[in-house]
Amino acid sequence: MINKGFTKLPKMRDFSACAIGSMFNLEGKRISGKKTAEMMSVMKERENGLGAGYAAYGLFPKLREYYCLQLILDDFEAKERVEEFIKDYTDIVKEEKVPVKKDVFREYPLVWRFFVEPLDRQNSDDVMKEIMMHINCSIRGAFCLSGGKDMAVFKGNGWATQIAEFYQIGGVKAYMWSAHSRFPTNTPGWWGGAHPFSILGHAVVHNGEITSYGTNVSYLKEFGYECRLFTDTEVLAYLFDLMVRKSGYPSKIAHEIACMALAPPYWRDIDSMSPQLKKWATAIRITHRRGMANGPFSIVITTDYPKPMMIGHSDRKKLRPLIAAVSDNESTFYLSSELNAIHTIDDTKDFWQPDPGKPVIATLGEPVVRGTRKPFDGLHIA
Amino acid sequence: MAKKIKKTVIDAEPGGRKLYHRELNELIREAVRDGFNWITLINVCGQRFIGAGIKEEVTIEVFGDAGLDLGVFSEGASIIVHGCSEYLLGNTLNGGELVVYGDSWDITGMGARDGRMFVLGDGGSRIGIHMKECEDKKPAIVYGGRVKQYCGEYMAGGVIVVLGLDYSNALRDKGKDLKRDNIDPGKIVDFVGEIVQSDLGAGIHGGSIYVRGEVPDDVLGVHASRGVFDDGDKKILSPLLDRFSELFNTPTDLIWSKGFTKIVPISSRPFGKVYTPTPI
Amino acid sequence: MKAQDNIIPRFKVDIDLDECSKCGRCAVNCTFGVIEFDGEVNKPVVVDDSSCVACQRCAVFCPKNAISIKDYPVTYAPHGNWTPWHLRGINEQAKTGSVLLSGMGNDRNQPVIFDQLVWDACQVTNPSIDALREPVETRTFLGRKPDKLSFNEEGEGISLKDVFPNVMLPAPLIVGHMSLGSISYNAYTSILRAVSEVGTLFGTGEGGLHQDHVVFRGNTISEVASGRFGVSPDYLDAAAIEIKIGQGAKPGHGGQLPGEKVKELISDTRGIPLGTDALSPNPQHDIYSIEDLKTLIAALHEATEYRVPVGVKIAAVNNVAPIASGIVRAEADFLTIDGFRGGTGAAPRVVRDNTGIPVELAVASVDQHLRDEGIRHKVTLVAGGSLRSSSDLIKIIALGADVGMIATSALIAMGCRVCQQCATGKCAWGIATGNPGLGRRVDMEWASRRVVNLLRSWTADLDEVLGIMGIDAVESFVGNRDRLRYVGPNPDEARILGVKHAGSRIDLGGE
Repeated sequence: MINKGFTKLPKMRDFSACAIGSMFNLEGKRISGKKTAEMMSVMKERENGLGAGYAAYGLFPKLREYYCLQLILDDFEAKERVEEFIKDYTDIVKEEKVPVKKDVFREYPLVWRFFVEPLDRQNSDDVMKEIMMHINCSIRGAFCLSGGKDMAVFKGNGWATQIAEFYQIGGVKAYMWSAHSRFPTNTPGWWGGAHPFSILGHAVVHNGEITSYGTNVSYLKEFGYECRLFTDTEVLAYLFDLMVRKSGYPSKIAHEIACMALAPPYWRDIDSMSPQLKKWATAIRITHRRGMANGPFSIVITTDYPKPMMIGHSDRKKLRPLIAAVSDNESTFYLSSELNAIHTIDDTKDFWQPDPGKPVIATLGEPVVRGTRKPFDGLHIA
Repeated sequence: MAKKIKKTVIDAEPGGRKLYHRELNELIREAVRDGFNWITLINVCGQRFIGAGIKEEVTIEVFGDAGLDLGVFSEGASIIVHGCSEYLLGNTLNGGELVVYGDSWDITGMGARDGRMFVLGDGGSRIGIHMKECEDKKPAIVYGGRVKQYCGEYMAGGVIVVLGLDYSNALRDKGKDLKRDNIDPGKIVDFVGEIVQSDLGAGIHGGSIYVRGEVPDDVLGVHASRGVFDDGDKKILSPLLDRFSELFNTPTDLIWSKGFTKIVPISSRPFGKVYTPTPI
Repeated sequence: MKAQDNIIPRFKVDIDLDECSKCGRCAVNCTFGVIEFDGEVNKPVVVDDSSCVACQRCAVFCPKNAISIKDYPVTYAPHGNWTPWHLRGINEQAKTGSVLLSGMGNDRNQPVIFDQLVWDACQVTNPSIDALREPVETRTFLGRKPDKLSFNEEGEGISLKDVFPNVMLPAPLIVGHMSLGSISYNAYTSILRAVSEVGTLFGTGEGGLHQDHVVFRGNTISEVASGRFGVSPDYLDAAAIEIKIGQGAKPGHGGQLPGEKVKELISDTRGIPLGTDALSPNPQHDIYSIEDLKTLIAALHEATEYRVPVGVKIAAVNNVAPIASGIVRAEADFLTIDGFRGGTGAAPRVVRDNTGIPVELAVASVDQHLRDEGIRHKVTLVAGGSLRSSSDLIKIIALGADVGMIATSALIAMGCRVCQQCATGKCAWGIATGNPGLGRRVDMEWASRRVVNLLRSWTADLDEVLGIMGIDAVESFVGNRDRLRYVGPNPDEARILGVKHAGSRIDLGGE
């Protein structure tokens, strides 16, 4: 039984408070989503059953050069409308119904995925971004959950444990997991409103509310990103894509610039920086001033650009919780709203609270820097 | 007045099913009503509001990580956590003693009116925000480790102490419970670097903050200023630090090996001049 | 009342002779010839009510509060259409046969849209911030911004190319142009001292820069207007340069400093003969079309070696949005929009009262238009005309201005009562006059303190309001119309402003 509310876009802005749980196997070993689901299950107080989701990376080793468009659809006709649209811009290499467990929800959408390769090889990322945005805004009955390579987002309207069961997360293996459950104040029923919000290979989970929403939306519009989904997380994901990929910044520093632009240091701190760093911080802050995310936020960004990495970031006033941890054998990195969620699956003693406004970045195959990082630490900036 | 100790144990995860906080707290209150005054909770993992609103002088010993709002609104309980305590420890505390053998992050002791909180490890932002004192009710927070921004913001009374001691190599057996006898006093060292972050005492208008060691000028918050540390302060700190030393097996001469920087308000109405009543 | 004027006075001045201490201050202070001190009978006498302009100087300076100034107690037969304003206007033009000149801004009853706007506060889903104890940042940079950063690859390192020149302001608030000549030396110097202390900018106006004021160059915006008075290379070496195309009070009209106000000081600074009218032509004669503007901007950039931001000021008129777009594409570093309520030292009344559109609508429209064209992020938008309180400042920022500009408000801080007699040069407060004797009535120490207080208290108000909205940096508030709500009668207005109506739950236009 399909309820048309799954993919219908909201008319009002959505505010929510939530839980975040993520884990990243730094050696690239693919593990079942069961543990992530367990992390989320102990933070049930933070959700109200109206949205949860999981992002997973490393899912399709045999199809990893193709973009995977994972969709929720009101019905089969909607899927055909999507197919009709995308075949003009891409080669469809494979398509399949995403297996779900039938008796978890009374009503649920059809979940489908296409593995595609854009015809325009040069601008494949931009094409896929446009396709995703078009599907979400203009194709009735369809919503694109994710459109990155070798990754997918599984989300919907339910408790974190229900969503995990529905999508059979326990049987899905990935080296990087990011999950979220929420407590929204409106738009019940819209499966697309849950987090993670994903564009290309980036996925964002977010606890908090952006007071700069209006400013950010207008800034993004100038650079070709239409925010039509009225969620803060959409804005964060697009801001990240803009600064990390679209801007063409050198890949060594793009994510550092993005993190600093989202939560720049206070001017009083910039004033007392060394001349080199002061020049960078001032230039970043002035240039991307409208991309600053104001208001409380704790976010986890997972991305595969340029390399798989997981970024935990928070607002400068530290108004939402976030705890980071590394397993005792240094193989796994965790981020979570509460420590007990991490301790449920790993009783590591190596945990810390990241500093306000300073990102924690874990990259595949590299050791994690504990505690406070200096901005642009270890990078050659002149 | 030696009270007879009557113990009981409550499993927070009986048969593998994690108890919801409401269930756990009901069991705790039931035990209190039944006259138990030493209630041990095992397998705790993030349950919230443990000891909420308790007025009786009972001891609750928690094994595992406690969830948010440990001891919120309580008045007489002694709660010991062998693990970490999530944020909002001692929220609006009215009395009693909370002890954490681990970290406890943001907003500890928010609006506390009395009682004492002792944390072995690190804190987060806004420790002791808007703590207040009145006559003989004087709350206190002592952190063994470091804290972050806005420590003592809006403070209107009470005492906050930050010691900057690193216990990460002092735990004898990391596999065992975090307890007093698991701490090796010889392996406790001073943290290198800053133990408080910016905006220390922002808007403080009562009470004092004591930071062990030196504090650079640029971390002082709005209208916070340095006070003179004298014998009166020693009298205030000694019982607190003696208790800390006892709880966490930390030698008092290590604690007192550095002087304390005292942070006090510039006045009881520091923002008096910003607002002007107007006749128009 | 003088019979040959054929019209009753506007105001009646009464002196309570029982209270009067016979000090004579009222007579000394009045510059309009209303009160004289009769030495023979030892009392002040009201000799000419009809000249009173209600500037309040006499009443404020009377030590006994013995002076009252009221509406003249002769009633006009009530008429919904032929109001006293119309009757007087016709009388004046019948008397003089000329274009009536007046000072200050439009005083008519067209709607003030600021008063139809309210803003949001954070509750429950989002905490507000306490601006007194936690940082709320208002630092603003005036100047052109790049689309994104550009890099030099240098061996192993990556370094930044320089960004465009920008002027750092402690808050999004500057004092707009008022020329030396339109206001007195003392008033002008007071404002310069104030902006210098606060760290913000003052527009020099079109009067050139007096040598005494060269020391304040780092806090000035030099105006390059159609009269090109005082424009020398040194003059251009300011914090910023602004090409004045128009002014809110008199769009399309040049400037005029009536000869009465051209005393020695002005004559020297502007380089014109004593007593002549200082006239600025209506257009700038090297700008007849948009590409000419681009040429002038480039010329100024070259002359200042690209060190100084060069901006353009226009009045808010019907097609302000595409005009603004053209200006941004002409490489202007900042764009100032002056609304139809803007003040002036002198302008034809008919122009002042009817030309141009409210700055609220202009800013919203320009901001949206520039965003639609994808160029909003490049330029700093400055707006004024008229910002009467900190709430107007805050609203204009939310509507889309990066920086708010005040002028009349600064004069009021120094004692101005907006009696609108600036064009006569007889300002009893010593502000809008070229008469050095009158100018000395402005105590520079006192006046600059007052302007400093105004700038700082408005900034403190801005901090508070940003805090209650949960915003801790003003750059997240510029153009954030989502935080405003409209409570006025006209839904079209709300739509053009891009502001939702209060209480609405459905998203309207805007984003």
